[in-house]
Amino acid sequence: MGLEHRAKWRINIYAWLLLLPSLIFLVLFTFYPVLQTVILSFYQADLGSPEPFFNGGDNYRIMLEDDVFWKVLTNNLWFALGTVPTSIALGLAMALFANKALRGKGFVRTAYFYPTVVPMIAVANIWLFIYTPEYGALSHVMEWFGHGGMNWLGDRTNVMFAMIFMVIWKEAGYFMIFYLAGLQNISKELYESASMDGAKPWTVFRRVTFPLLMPTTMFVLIIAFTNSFKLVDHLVIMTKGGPDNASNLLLYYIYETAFSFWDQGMASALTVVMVVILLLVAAIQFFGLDKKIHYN
Amino acid sequence: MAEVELRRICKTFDRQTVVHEVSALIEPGEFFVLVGPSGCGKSTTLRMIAGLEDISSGELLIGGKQMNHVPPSGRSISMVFQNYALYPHLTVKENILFGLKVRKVDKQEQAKRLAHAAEMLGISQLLQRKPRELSGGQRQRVALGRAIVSQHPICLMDEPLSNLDAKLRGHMRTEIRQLQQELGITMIYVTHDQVEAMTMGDRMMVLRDGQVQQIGRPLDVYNQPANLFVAEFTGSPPMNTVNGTWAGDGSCQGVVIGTGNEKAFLPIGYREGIREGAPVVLGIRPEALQPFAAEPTVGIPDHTASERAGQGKAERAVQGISQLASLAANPVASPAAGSDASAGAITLPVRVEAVEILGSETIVEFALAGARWKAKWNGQWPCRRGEMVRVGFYPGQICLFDPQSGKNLTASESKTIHQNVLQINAI
Repeated sequence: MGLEHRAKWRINIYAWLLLLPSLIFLVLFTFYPVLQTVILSFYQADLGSPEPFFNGGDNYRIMLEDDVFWKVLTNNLWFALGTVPTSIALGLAMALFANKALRGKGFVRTAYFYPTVVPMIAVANIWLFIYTPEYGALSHVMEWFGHGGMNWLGDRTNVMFAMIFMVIWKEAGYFMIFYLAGLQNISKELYESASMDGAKPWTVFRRVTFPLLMPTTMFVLIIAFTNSFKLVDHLVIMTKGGPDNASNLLLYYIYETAFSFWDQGMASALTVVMVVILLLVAAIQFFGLDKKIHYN
Repeated sequence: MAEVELRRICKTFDRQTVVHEVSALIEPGEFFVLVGPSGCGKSTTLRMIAGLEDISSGELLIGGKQMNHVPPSGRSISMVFQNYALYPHLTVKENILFGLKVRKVDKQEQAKRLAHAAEMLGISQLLQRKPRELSGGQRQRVALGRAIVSQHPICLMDEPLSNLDAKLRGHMRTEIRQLQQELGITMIYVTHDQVEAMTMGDRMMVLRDGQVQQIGRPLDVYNQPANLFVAEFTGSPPMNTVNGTWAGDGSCQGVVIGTGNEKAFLPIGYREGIREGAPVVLGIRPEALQPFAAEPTVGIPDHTASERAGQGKAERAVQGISQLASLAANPVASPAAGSDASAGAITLPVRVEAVEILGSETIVEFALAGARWKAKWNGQWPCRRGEMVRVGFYPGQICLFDPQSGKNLTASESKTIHQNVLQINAI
């Protein structure tokens, strides 16, 4: 009995030792910060309080009364609505084209994927130039149509469209790769069988391709939605959330609250809200859509 | 009912011709098998008939109409694919009805055809299942169901049994053949398995490197192979072949095989059109080589003393074997076991190199004239490696091939004799 117990222990110790290196880093940089964030969200921890102190749900109450929070949340929802379906649809369309393209297949794929591999900061600067009023690339083009003076990033109504457009440009190529992999997993015989039956391309897409790509769509949907809440770098370079918070998004607002206003208690409360929203959306997608998806 | 005609059909991929001038006329209601080793162009030919590949040159006619540029759906053809091509996200019912829905067939008609096909194939209880919940054989049936409900007069099958285990394959062979006969459809069937070709087809076309080697009824192809390739491709084990020289004159003509001490003269008799000294390839089916007890007309010219002694032993061994033959599981099917049957036969003493007893038959391997030969005997023959036995065959069972072109030099003669010695286990 004792011997058996010791042997079991030994196996367990081995397992824990093998897990230890990654476990240390996970605890230090993931689990502990998560826990600390949740705790801190119930504390007042700003520049006015040298020692953080427990203030119950005050941070959450203040947040709900904060107009900027609601503005940022609405912005984020519009941003998600603008980017997620469009970039997914475009990614799928590009994948369908890249999968079919007979000539220059490699070139088409590289061209589509290129925006994804360019560093975020470089992308932001390129688009900053494109959107620059008067001498930016877009202004030059718009001049031909007589609208040369448009200020894309400085205008409250235009700025969100400008950001949405840029993000679609960046994300679609990334999603295309997933769809391309998904398409290549579909047996050619299925298409041949459909063509023997005389199915039109749209029928084939609707009844064969799209249903079989649903696992990919599900995955891409979650990634796209998470990304739409994650945008910070472009905002730092291009708009800083302005003008008048018109392009401010939740994560950038958290960043500002934590590192510009140094209100870490409020930033923690905002973070908890964001994580809860993302979890909720992922859960709805996963448990709602998942039943309709065929996995091989 | 529609006939399918291929007129000098070619397929070229990047200047490489993979199908070379294939011509055939497939009759309505016929079960036509395209057979050949991997890469011989049989699937490509089938896909050209289906319209899934363009025809590089030549003509395809279905029901007398040229179909080269007609899309697959316009050719009145259904197809069963190698991996069945079932839509994994659809149920069996939806899979079977997919084509009918696409063609907007009336709902009542759809239900009628579905019920008929499901009953015919015995899959009525599986209709609500997804393909992944089915076994290989059930998937195969669903794929057949799809072809049945389409009610097209022509059905193409691309190696449909290759993913099934041996037992199920045997079962499905019969089932497919039966189904084809019940429905009266024209079936064009691709396989690399000569057993399928032999057992299922009304006629078969043997292909090699994109070229037609022979078209004919399975038994004609088996008994009168057009060339060495067909001879070696059909039958299991394949035909024994050995290089030799045509020799003799007048009444005593035959083939000299082997060299030096192992030289042997096989008196085959007169064969038209083969000149003295011409190199030939001698071919004989394993089932034509039978055990003999008597020792009349051995043609080994130069016996050494030790060989003679060996031969004495061999006779004893052969006698022993002939006694065993009467005890064997199926001795009746061994036509040459008695001494009466040996009249006119050529017999040779040989040393057994290997034996495979398969239950219903025994495959005996021996070396002769520098080549390994295999003989297939019905029943269970308990001979051992190293034992001497006497094997024999009738001259009429021999095929002679041109070593250069591979062409059969005796194609028309051997037919009757082959039919006489035809055995159930021949294939």
